[in-house]
Amino acid sequence: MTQESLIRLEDLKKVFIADEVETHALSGIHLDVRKGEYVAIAGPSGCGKSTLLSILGLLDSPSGGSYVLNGQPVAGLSAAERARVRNREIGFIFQSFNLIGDLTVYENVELPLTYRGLGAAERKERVMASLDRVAMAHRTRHYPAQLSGGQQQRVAVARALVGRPSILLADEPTGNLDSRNGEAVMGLLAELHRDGATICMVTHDTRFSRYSERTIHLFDGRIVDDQTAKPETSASVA
Amino acid sequence: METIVRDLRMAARSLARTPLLTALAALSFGLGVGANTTVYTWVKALLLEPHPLVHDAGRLVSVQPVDPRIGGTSVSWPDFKDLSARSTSFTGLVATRSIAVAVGVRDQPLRVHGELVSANYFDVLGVPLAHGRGFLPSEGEAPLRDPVIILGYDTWVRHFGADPALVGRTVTVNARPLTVVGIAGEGFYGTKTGLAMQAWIPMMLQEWVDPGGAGRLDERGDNWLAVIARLAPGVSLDRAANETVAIFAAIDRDHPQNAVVGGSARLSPLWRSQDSAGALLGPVFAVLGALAVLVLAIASSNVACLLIARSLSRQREMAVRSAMGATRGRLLGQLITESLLLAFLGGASGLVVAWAGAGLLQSLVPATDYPVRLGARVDYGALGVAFLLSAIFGLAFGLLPALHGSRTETAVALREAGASVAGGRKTGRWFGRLVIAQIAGATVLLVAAGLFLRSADNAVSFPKGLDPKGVALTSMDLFSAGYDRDRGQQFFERLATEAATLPGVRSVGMARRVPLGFGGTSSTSLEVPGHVAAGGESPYGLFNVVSPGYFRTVRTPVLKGREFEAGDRAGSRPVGVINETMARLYYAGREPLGASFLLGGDAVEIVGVVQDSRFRDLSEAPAPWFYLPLAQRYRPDMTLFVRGDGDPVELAAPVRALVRQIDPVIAVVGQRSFAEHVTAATLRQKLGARMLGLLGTLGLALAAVGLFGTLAYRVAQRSRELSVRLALGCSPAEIVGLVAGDTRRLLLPGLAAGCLLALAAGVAMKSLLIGVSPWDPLVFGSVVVILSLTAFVAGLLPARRAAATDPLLSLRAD
Repeated sequence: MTQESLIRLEDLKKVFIADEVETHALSGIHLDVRKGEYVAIAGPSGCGKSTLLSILGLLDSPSGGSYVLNGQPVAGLSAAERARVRNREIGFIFQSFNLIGDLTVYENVELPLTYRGLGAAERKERVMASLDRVAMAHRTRHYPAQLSGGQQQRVAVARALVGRPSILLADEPTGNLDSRNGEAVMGLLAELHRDGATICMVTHDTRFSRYSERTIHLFDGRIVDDQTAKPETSASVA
Repeated sequence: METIVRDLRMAARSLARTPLLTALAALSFGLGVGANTTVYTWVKALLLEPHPLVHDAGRLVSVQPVDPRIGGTSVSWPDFKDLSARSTSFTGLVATRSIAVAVGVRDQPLRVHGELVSANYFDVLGVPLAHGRGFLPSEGEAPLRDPVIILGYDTWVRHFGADPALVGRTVTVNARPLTVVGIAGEGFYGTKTGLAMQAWIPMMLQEWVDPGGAGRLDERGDNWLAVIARLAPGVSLDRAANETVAIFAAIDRDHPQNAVVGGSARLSPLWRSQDSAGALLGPVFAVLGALAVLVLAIASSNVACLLIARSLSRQREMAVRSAMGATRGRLLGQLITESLLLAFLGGASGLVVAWAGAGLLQSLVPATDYPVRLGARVDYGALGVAFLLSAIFGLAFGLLPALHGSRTETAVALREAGASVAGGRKTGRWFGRLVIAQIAGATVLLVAAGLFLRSADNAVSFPKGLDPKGVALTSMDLFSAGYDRDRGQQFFERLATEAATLPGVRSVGMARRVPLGFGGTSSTSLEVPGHVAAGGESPYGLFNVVSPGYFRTVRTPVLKGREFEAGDRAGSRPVGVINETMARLYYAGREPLGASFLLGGDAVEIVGVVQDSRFRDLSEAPAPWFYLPLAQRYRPDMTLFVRGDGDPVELAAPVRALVRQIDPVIAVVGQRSFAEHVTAATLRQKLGARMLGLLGTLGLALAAVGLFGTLAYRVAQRSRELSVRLALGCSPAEIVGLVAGDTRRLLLPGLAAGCLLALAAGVAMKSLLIGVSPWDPLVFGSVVVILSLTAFVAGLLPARRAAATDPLLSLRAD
């Protein structure tokens, strides 16, 4: 493991057992993700992309192998400790945005900080900075239902950023967006990456995997390809 | 703190965004909490704190000599003085006697109920005075020397304009001037629970205000006073009772002519003394309390179902929060905050229900001559109870949905393609169990309501030995109008004669005591020549003073001989009429007609035997009764019974006008129909029927909502399965059959468990039922039919929805 390694997976496995039938969702996954890296995880539907991302985000546990996040093995963590690690180390961006309808834009972005116990003044400063970053500071009092899909995803990105996590995990972030909004969000992620963010993105859309500097291809739960390339900008894709 | 405030804010907003569900849940909770709080306000008013303003009321006891034949009795004034002098277990004893006096208000006589009391009354009870003072010890020393009175707060406000200067002035009481020396504290109504007394007069003025006559204070054999005592510090009820029994035994030894064979004494806390409203209504309160808790449990489980359904629709939100770093404890805290907030909303609406229900008890009290006061009020205690119940039930039933909601499978819930209806078999089982419990609870409530309804119905036609329908009652008190015996006799004779000539009147009679209403009975020891008492028990009888025409008017059949007639006059040979129980007990094997019994040494010849009739309540055991003619046993306080052809209400005005025409000074104390009066005897059944009818309907509605919700949930959960079945050729009718199967699986165990519980409940409240068995098949059958129909209706919509499932849509859903 190099010094910059943020995520290290060794011989990771995930087996689902239902009605005595074993389904191997992931097998023998070895993966290093360095700090500041932008990794795309690609592959066909059912190849294990989302399962891998869930494990990386501590939303799910592997059936075998080891997972070290930011130098800390996560296998033995309790549920509360996993929640704390999620809160401090990981920022999530979901395909369906997953904003909470009962909360305003401001409150949605503030949510991870409320679980961290930060004071109100610091929370406000961070929330506004995050919303500024995604150009949504003018919509703080709006509810998600009052926003377009693209705007909702920008708010979701702000929410992912606000806790200053070690890594952003994005699960098909453009899946529910039209192409224009999809490009805009990808451009935003590219900007964040340029500013030093570590990003791990699941996508099955080859157009968007080209934004990353490294693309990992999964097939039947195994890594079948791991390519490093210079990322393209949104302008060049467009 | 900030977390709590944020959780509360979020909870409020979350509830506001689902107003229908919130309203439904809060209403369910509110009705459950309201029913309980209402019962609590009644229990508090009549059992827990029946004597407001009395200092340390828990140390007050009712002291009663016990006659083994008739139970607790009263004491004479000489016995009371002996008891007071000899007792060491009490810091004070007071004697009281209920009275009704005519108080002059703006030159008009106002009938005021009060108490004739020993002079230490206010000191022993520790009741504060709003103005003035209590009685002085000297005012309890010499008969008719100190003409003083203490008025009740309500009377002072209502009739004397709350004028503080009234203290020190005189008011006329039974046409005699008495000086008002004090105004009782606000909220004090005397020591008879359920009655509102408004005047207190020292015992030494007995001759002026008590119809018992002069010299009563000296008669040891005249037992007419109730005794209340305050236990001395450190003295137990048992020790005081033992001492009191010994003192009464000593008094009997000293005065054997007045002794009761096998006599004893009993002490009971004042709040549950035998003649209190608390004792009358306590059993029905217990039933109502238990069933109100059941309603709250049903409502709470219903809310739990709603919250579980709600938590299913919020799985994604919980998953997002979890992904953002919320621990399960935080999620649990937030969901419980929502449950509690909902419960408190229910508590608030429950208070509104309780506020409306507090007056219900008083509204059920039929017209009566007595100042019945069963008013309860919603105070801080009720507020506390409402919110405590809300918190307990909100927490208990909110925990399950919260545990469920906080156990979200985060990764699954966050995926876009998650099933539209979450929750698995386990959730469905929980729903099912809750609904089965609700159906069982509703069964118990409905059966209880049915039994009480049938009891209340039966009470109307229950054999009473008299027929109250078509009879008008008019009560009057000649004593407070200053009538002596001769004038009184003349008045009553003229009244009866002229009332009989009023249009539409068929018969007229008079009685001292009116059967089957609020009011006491009179009993006395007898000597029955020729009767050999078993076990040395001396004969006794309950008695009433009646006029000629009474039995004909109330339609109590005369089985032998005759009823009283005009020839039974003062000075002629004393005669009496007995009931069949007395004839059976004391004249077995011989002819009672022409035989005599001795009353106070005077022989009374039996001229008639009448059928037994109920007097105190419908379930009482037959007791020996005898009747004496008004002309020979004058009483100034009588009630006129007038039976007419039409509605007895129409007789009220002519009778009142007749009384006024004969003598305008005489105040009619009260007028009502006999049928209305006897409803007092069924107050418990009426109260039970009314409240349990409400609770039963509520339970039924809640169970129906629960059943509907559960079936709808199951249909939604099975939508894919149903669509596959439809796609494979299953008919819509068969789909409806599948849902009906679900309904049946919930209904049958619920009904079975409910019927068993209802049987146990029915047996427990058997003493309150009239003419209906605890396992009455009509009630149980009706409840089964009602619940089955309700279940059918509740299941109809989900079944139709299931039958209308579009196979393509459902198959595309995933």
